[in-house]
Amino acid sequence: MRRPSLFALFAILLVTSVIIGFGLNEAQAQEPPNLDKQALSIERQLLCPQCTNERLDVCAITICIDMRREIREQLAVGRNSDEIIFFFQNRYGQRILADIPKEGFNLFLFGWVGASLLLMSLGGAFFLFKLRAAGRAYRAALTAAEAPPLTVGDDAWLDAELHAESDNGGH
Amino acid sequence: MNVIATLGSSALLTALASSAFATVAAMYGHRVGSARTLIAARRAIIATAALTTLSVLVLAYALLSNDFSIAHVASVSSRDMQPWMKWASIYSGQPGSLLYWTWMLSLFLGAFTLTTLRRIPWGEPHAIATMGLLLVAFLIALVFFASPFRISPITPLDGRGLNPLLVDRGMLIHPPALLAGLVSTAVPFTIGAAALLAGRLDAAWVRHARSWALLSFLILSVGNFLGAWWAYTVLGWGGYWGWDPVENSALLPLLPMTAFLHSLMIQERRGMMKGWNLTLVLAAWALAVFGTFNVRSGLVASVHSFAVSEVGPYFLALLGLVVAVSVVLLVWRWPRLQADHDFDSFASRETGLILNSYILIAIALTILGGTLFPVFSELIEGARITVGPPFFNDVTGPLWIVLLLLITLGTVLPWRRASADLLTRRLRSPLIVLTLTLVILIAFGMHDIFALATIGAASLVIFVTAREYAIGARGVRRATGRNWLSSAASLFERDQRRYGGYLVHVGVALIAISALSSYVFQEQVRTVVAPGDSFEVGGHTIAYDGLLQRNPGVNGISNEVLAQITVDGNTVLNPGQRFFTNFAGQPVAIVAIDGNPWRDIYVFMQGWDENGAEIQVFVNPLMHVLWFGGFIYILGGLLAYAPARIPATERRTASRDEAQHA
Repeated sequence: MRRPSLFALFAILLVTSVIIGFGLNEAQAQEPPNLDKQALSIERQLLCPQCTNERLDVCAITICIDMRREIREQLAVGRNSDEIIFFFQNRYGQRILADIPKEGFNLFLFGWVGASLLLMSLGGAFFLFKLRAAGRAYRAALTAAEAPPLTVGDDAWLDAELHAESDNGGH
Repeated sequence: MNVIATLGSSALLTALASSAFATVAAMYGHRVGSARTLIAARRAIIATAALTTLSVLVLAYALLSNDFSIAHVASVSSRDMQPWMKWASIYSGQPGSLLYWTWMLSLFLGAFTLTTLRRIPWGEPHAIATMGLLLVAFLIALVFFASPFRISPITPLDGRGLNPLLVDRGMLIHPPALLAGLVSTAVPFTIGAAALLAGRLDAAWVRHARSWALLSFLILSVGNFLGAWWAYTVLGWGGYWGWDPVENSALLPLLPMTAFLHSLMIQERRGMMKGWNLTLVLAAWALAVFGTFNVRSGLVASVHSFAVSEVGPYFLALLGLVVAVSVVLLVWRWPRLQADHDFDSFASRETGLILNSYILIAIALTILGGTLFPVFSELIEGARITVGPPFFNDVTGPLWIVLLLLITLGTVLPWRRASADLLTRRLRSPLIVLTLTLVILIAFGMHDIFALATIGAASLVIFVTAREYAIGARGVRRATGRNWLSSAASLFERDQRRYGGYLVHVGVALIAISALSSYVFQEQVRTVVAPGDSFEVGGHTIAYDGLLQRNPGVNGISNEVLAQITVDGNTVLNPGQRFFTNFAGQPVAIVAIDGNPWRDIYVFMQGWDENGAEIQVFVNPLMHVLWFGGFIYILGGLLAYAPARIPATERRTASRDEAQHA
């Protein structure tokens, strides 16, 4: 009975701390957003239109300095981040979006990812099941004397150790 | 006539002839059964290595003697460069990097020829022919498309100088290590190809490919760590891994190589995964060629491409050929690559290792897709898009977490079959540790699910690994009466592959924790400050005291503008920008970092005028853990690589296997 009650204790602890954790988070989230932070968060979603793979917030060229000023001006007149990002996307094209939009032709990329994962998981599962079936058939055909022992390989000594541990101190 | 350029070109041309001879002689010698012809072929590979080395020395001499009549020398060096900086000139630019790549290839293949080749008599001619072809392929590119010894029509008085981004000490070791890492995948590829060609498809090739694969894994890892370090300290964007196409290209071959290092154990012990292991080494080489093609061709725009060129189509054809030949070889031999029907249960280390392989390849496919997608998008849709870090973080993030869980599972599960009882015993304390970790983290206010999952999984890896060491050390201590420390150290003698590998896992877990922390908990502030003013970032006071000018007068640097920054009233930092005489439009950031084990304060200056400076500050938590994790990772790899004191029993088994199949 010792093990389940230990887990129950942990479960209760876990749930309690989740509640406390989220409570703290709620308290922190009440801060009013400031202009600098908003601007930075927008800049981090955009790339320099000229350099390659350089985020807008860290780029030093003139065009980026102008873009950063523009973001602040638009924030000051009350535009939200989606509107501002859309504004720059219209001006420079999709390539300045750090996060690739999940729409249109781009869905093929996500399709590729899905297909890769599906291939590896389904193909992998198929292979594993096939391997197990073949292994079973192979062992079934052997006589008792021929059957390989279910060795535990390089861990045999570890098991002995663990057994010794649970025999001595575990109970 | 320029004697130096002629000598260099002749050396390369002779190397091409020599490697072509090696291929032909190996095939002929094999066909007619002439041992002497095979010896000649073998020596031709060594000769190729000597000749490419000669051409590198010649280029080094031309660089040091400022021979600007050679076009490459004029384009990548200048008179005011410090001599040691000219090492970087050797591998910068298209012809230089190709020469370096081919030189490294010939050195690796030469070393392989001198050491391992003699031990695989069954595949010697096949291996020599393969090596000869690889060398021919790259020497053709070097001799006919991008010779570093081309004479320019006019000799300038001074050279253009090194690309500004390369003018950094880190650049003296990072690109050579990375290129060497990419090239080193050629050796496991050669052994795998020889096994396929010779039809020797048991575990013999795996035994010989293992140490080369581990070496390749190590050099590639070192190259990637140095790349991350360079990006962090030089590129000036507050991070170290931006999922840039070139970074991805460098990471890609490492994934199948890692998968191979794990899955080869299944073939050695259990006679499974034969076809898969071959696929992995062939794929690692194909990805290394892809990486070179990607970097060299300017196919995908990157911050790291220092060379854009006309050899792109040639490399594309070469890549196509490598993939096609690999597929044909595998399909041809597939009927003979069946498992020895010796799989017992899903609850086994085999399963853990196989799943680990799959997840690594799923990650590789995802990264490959993301890296290449902009090309397809532009070709097919005409739309220029960027696949940026958010995509890679979102898509591969969960996969890395699964990988950490699989490392745990692979460590905990025994070979063959785990009984329910054994599973419960081994999983009980890791689950308690996981719960405790999560409870503590949540109690301290961490609520980000991604962060909790990553740190939870990493803590599992660290715990189960530490337990393996502790249990092993206790066993040795009981048996020998030595103290704990010496018992634990002796584990590395007892089974260096296993315990060295575990250390790599700990390194990976530490890197995961650090990467997560700097990704999720990074703080960033940018502000314009007047001299004498200060501002707050993450509890630190950053004071700006004014500007500073410096003129080092070497390596093409015209001047440096630096900000005087004081952190918390004591640490002085000098971030700024460096300007180059011949690259007026390309200033390079000078990053200043005040680091301790808990956090890095990473400062750079984006702009300035007489009224003040625009200062950007990142507070990156646990960055030291990243570099420490990298150190542990490499240390573990080195321990696993160090020459083994092979137990007599294993040696007997190995030689018996060889005898049976000879």
